[in-house]
Amino acid sequence: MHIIGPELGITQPGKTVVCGDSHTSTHGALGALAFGIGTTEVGHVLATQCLLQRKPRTFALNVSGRLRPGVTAKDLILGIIGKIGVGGGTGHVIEYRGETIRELDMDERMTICNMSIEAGARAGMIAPDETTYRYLAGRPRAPQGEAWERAVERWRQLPTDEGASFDKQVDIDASALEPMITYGTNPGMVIPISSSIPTRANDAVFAKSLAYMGLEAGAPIKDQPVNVVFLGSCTNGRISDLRSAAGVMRGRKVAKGVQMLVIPGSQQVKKEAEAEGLDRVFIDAGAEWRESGCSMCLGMNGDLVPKGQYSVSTSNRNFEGRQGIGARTLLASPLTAAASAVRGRVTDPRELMS
Amino acid sequence: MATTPQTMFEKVWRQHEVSGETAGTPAVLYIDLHLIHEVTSPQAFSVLRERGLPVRRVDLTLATMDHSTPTRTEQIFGGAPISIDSAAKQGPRARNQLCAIWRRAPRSAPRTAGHRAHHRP
Repeated sequence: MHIIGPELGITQPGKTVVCGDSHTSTHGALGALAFGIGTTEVGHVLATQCLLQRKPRTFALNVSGRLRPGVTAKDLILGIIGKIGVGGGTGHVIEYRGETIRELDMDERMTICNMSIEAGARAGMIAPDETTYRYLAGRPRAPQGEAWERAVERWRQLPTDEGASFDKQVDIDASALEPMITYGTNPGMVIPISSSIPTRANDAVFAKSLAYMGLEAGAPIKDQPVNVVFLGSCTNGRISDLRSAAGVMRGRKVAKGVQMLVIPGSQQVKKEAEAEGLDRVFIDAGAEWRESGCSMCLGMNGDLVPKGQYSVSTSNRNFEGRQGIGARTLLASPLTAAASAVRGRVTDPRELMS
Repeated sequence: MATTPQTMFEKVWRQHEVSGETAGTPAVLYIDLHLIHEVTSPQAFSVLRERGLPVRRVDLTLATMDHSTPTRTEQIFGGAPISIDSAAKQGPRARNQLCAIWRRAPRSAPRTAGHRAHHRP
């Protein structure tokens, strides 16, 4: 759903987009106001094309500094959630701003906006620019010809005016980031891959979370054995995600005893990947190359992580039972997922990148 | 007269506000694109049918299946009929969801990115 909207060019700057799914925020990467709604509201919109909504507050998330090699948009959004917390965006619409965001391609911007909801935000948005227009031009449902020119002219009016004020502001230095990985049962429980799991005395919720995960406070996360690797989802199931993971896996094998599922985000992504031979890279490595869908992100279709097993997953939620009853999810980037699949333990992808 | 500088969110919000919020009532916001899938929309279609309401803007609604769809190639392309039968192997809940969106969505006629469609999740 969240892959095909942009892919078709039906998601466009300035549109209001809703869906009965939390990760609708993904579409904000194109400058749309996009958010998840409940089933009752789905009925309202079907019947009236309108929605009752309290106006959220505004939140400027300013990102500066260049991401280092091996550090991806996924690490950036995990770092942001780690900093502001899973409730940091509550009641707000986040606008991701700054030079770092401007330099991201559309796939990366979608990864960022996708996880806005994990910071508690109603939605996440990125101002449309030349990157957005290049991405949309010529897509099947995007305006064509003269209508396209008029649309772009309209879209150019959308970015935040100079001097506009936000209800909240946070600054992030992207150049300080490392590959990030979660260790707990919400996406805010996240650390740089070279760090140790924090210690929090007298915090029963924290202790319960670590008990579920079978991890020790103070222990390093690196080299934690891994049973399953899931590459896919509306967070990281686009072509560039598959390319970056394939880059790590080319000529290498998935470690013995590790199951790796590669699920393209759409049939279009699948075809594109196959045309580039990425499917062969994954298959030759011993991973399972499958059909598109949400799959193991939430295991509704039966693609489940067995009880007690550790999964490095490129998806967006590590809640208890999300990937299966008793499944232990470690959220990370496609690079980290690929490197961990090869080593069979949590691995800093930079160790496998030349 | 100089206008107050606005954030991007405020611009989009204002362009879509049918009526503003008050202390007692939320705003009414117009929706340009409604994406529906097999998990959260079948119940909504049931309510519409019970109340005899049509889908107001079929052209602004895009339906697809993604949450409950099987990912093994042989389950989808191996046999006929495709997704619903193969989804049956995943249990009754997934089967019912997929059946429901196929039965209801085409009748109400939103565009459906079907399971063999080029553009589907």
